[in-house]
Amino acid sequence: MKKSIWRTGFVVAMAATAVAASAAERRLTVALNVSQADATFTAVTAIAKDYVKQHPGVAIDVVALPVYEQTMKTKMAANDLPDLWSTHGWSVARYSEYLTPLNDQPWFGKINPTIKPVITDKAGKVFVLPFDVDVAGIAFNRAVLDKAGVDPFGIKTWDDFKAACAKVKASGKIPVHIGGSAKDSWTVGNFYDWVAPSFLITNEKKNFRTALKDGSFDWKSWGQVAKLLVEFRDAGYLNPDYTQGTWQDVGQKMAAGEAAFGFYGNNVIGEAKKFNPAGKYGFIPVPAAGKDDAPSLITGERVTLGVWKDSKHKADALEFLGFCARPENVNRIATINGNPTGLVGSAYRSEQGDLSPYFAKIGGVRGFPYFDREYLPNGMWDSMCNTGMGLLANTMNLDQAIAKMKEDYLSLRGQ
Amino acid sequence: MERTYRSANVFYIPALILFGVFVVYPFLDGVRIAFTNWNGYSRSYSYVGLRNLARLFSDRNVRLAFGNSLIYGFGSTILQQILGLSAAVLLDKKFPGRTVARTILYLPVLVPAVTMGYMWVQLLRLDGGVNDLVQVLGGHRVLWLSDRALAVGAVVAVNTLQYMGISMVIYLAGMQAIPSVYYEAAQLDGAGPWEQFRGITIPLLYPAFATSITLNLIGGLKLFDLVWALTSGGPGYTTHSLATLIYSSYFESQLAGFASANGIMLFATILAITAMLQAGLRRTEVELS
Repeated sequence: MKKSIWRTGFVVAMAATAVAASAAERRLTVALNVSQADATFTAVTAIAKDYVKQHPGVAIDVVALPVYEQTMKTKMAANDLPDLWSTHGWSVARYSEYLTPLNDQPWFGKINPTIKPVITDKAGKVFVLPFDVDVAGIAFNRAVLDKAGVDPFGIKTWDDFKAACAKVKASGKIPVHIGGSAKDSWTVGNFYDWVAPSFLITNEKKNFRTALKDGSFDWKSWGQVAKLLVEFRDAGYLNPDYTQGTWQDVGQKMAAGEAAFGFYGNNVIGEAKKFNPAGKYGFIPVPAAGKDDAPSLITGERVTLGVWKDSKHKADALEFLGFCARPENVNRIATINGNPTGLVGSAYRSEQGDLSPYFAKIGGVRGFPYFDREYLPNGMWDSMCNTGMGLLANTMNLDQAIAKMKEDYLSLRGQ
Repeated sequence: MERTYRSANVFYIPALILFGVFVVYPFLDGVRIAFTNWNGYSRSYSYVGLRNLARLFSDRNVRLAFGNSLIYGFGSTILQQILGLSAAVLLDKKFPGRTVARTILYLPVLVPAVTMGYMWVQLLRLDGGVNDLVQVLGGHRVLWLSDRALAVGAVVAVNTLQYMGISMVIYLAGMQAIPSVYYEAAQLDGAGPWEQFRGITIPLLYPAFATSITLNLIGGLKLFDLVWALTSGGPGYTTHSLATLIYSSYFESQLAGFASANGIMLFATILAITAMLQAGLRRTEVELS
């Protein structure tokens, strides 16, 4: 009797192991560049669960990789990548070498025309499913602007913006919260990503699009971009701790009604809402450099997923991606971020909540891709961040900042 | 007898293999990468000759990082020896609470440098604890990590406070190994505490000096974690050590070849300085013995 119990137990254990092994053989890993606390992570995890319910032989691990970019670079160097991963704006310039072209997927024809050029390489290949489209301008706290007597939609040029800042400053509030940590200066790089197109790209009569792409760009022209930040600092338009602030401070101060503008996507409004959900927030297009040009918007990838070209489970990964492309899943993620959907068609729609009136107002405003992703060689984001912070903290002068940008541009173009 | 020794050689082969795989091979591959324009992750790259090595001499940030590494290395080492030796001398005497005092001074060594760095980032904020103290004392609030001199000073100070416990323990061990008969004889000859310290303690602590200085200097020269947690090399590039500049060049600026060239320079610098230091300390030790 005892023997037969042991024998039965052994057989059951072996069978369970075999089932587990077969499930493990079809285990997909999806890596995301957001923290586990992020709503996008929760949504992708829920979509994966729905998929697994319908496909019992497949298991999906959704992971939030720490230090995402560095980890992914190491994984690329080792050619040991997740089956699917998010590309945070770099599907073409950085990750395309390792991604599967998706032009043959059934949802390919539905890609939103706004995002399509941004995620298409020179050969016409697309490597990601875009859940939404990043449409960003300058975020603001409406109550602070009202109190200062500023009409945000009256701001058309940087001179108008400076006049608005002067009014906000006079009302005792912080005109621009740059975050601006000397330790983590990405917020300063973001400022340049927002400002640079208005000086170098958006003016149809005079721009440097070709020169930036063919390497003939005269870096002296970067001076006007770099200088704007210094002018803001010298005029007292930035938060006083502009070299030791953090990104979290921006949302917090906007929520508290202490800061007016933030040079970030609408995610900063989501951050502010965490602290003060009742606050009135909005966004305007980025002002133009002069009256001969018009304000513009920043567009780019937001939440995307691509499939590793050497994945052992490529068929499953592509099928999961197809599942993600269903309207209910795309709509869900686009709504979380308050962005337009990455796929278009009658079933695709997202809710922008309180921001709907602002989205209605930007119809017809031209969108331009993130400056560094489109016009600078891969790797120059860091140069923008550090030279900007060097200027802010006075550890670099304008000439040194321009020289460093030029040196890195030439060096990285040579790769 | 000779045969026994020869067969014993077999036992270090596994260690040799591990050393070769995890130290020698990566180092040699790093040297190879220094001659390429690799971005750190792509499958394709080309060889660019001596371009990365040449850039070491023209790049302003390398000069800054090299200077900072020397400040972190020598500055922290000097301060750690002064504080560590002073603490050891005080805590070598018998008094109630001596063990507790030793523990408290050694405790920061057990805290990971990253944790220590993040704690100090909060303390040094404009609205942080250090500025609260400055204000109470009648001063103005300061952006401590926004100015190169202040930020570099902060790195040296935090590094010193964290690791002086190691020097203290090394000197305490050295002092306890000095036979008490030397002091008794000196007392009989009428030597006071200062003469005893200068004539007995200091010379007999030379092996401890050699160990403590070498350990602190190497640690300071290749300082990474504390700098990264405290300033990440900013503002701009002004507080980078060579080690953080290597990381930043490799993973952030995507200049893996240049980062590797920096790595070779860091290796050569530490090797040269510690070799000179060891030779100097050995010579002094021989002269004293």
